[in-house]
Amino acid sequence: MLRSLLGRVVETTRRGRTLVRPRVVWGLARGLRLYRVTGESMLPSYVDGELVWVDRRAYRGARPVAGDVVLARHPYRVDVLLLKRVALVAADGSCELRGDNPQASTDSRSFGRVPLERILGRVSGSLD
Amino acid sequence: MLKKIASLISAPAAEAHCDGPCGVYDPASARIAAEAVLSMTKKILALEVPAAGDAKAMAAYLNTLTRYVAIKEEQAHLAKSELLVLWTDFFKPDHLKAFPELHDTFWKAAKLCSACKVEVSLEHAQELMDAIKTIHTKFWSIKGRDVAYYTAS
Repeated sequence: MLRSLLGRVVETTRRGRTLVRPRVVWGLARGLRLYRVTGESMLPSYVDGELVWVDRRAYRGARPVAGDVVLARHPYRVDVLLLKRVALVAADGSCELRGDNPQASTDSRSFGRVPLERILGRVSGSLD
Repeated sequence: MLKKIASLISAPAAEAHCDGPCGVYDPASARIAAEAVLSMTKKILALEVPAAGDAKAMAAYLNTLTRYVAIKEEQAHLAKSELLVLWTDFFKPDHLKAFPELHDTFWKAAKLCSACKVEVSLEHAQELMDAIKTIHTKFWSIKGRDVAYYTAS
């Protein structure tokens, strides 16, 4: 697992040197962070094992918008990060989260709305 | 420095999960348990009491009866657990639109499981089977699949 993860982040040059891939450096320099998707609740948008870029500064001056895919802290499980799509933003900024694959998703339908302070960032795309 | 780079590219897990073994639900497991309850109920009712004084036949009778009762108890409880898993884990609030009588159906079906444990009732065992058939039909129509209902016995 770790090796395959590393393989997507680093590359070996023709001279045999191992370097962090330029697009990874570029993303990190722009303040984005990488997260690894686990599970199938975001199919077909995001597949299990995929690496995604998360902009953790996206909601410092702005609120989430319905349709955003966000990284959120689980409302009552410690240390669990979630990747879900915002279905609705309430007046107080709390978000109704849904998986794109509702048959295989545990989301706001079971744990309720997620408060704004637990929405950590916006997924800006996948690492190709 | 290396540690800093490693932590930057470590890519922590972001769960796009479902809490259960994703999507693997089927009312068939409840149906099989309920069928066993129906079968045991029939067998208990059909069991012939041996003539008085035949100790060996009486021992065999009691042994068989006890086994039937034990299996009926166990399978009725299993049917109830399987129904509760479907009710509380598979069905989501949006499913109420397609299945408005969902809560009542499951509540009554679970109560039938208890009744089948307490009693030796062919009528209640059959009603439990009927309730599971209703759940089967709703379950598969919500999943958008045409799955024919059948029984093993």
